[in-house]
Amino acid sequence: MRAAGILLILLSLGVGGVWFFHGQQMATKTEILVETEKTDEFGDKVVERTWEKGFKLGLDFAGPGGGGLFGLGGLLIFLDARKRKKSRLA
Amino acid sequence: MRSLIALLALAPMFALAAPGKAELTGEAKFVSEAPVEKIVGTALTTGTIDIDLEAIETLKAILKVPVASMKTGNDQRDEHLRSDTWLDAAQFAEITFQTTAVKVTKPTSGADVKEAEVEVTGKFTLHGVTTDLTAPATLKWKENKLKITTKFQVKLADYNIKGRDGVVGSKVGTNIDLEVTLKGEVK
Repeated sequence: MRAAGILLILLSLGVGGVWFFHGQQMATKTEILVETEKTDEFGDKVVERTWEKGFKLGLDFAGPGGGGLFGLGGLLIFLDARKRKKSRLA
Repeated sequence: MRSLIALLALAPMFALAAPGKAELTGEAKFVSEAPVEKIVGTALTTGTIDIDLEAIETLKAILKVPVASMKTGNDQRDEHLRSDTWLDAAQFAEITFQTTAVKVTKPTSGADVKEAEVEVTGKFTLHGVTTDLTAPATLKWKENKLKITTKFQVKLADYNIKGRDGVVGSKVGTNIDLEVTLKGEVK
């Protein structure tokens, strides 16, 4: 039970890490705005914008997901500690 | 004969001297900066312009942004944006800007590519609310190709856009920055 708890906490940290390295967005993105600089027919440097399929984890999923995993992991560790304590006293 | 050839050679230079009309297409980029989140989105923009490049101050234009074309990279958020809590696309399908006055702030310059800067005043309609709006714009043209760029800001409260309680000012900026680029061919 303790191992499962630790694993869940590690997973929650992983979810937090993915969220952090995906730019700490609030909302999960399923399309990414790609901005490409080019020179147009007027000789100006312009930014061409296109939406491409992609995924950036936002806090809307990372928060409940990561928080849930962390909570469950903590609960399993707590229950395991209580069980061990009871068995020691018995 | 020689004068005819000279006239033909010079014809492109005068091609835009007469008043013309152009169908414009382009894109609007909108940015909302709030303490919690920065949202960057795009929307299609179309318009028509009546323009005499020898008398830019007489130009008349109408620009339209279909609310349905607004994208932020998150389908759920885009749905919210179009809902009656925000822009209410069902009732107010388009954001429009119609010019009423144009002031030239920097006269025409350039050779191959000509350029002028103007201050455009017009009626800006968003969410069914129309206000007077003045924005700087740059016009560039090369032969019969025309490009218009402008940047301005709108305050959501001026257009009765309240959103969900507490969201404007925390997750959505009270002001939205807009950057519009339009291109067309004057005919």
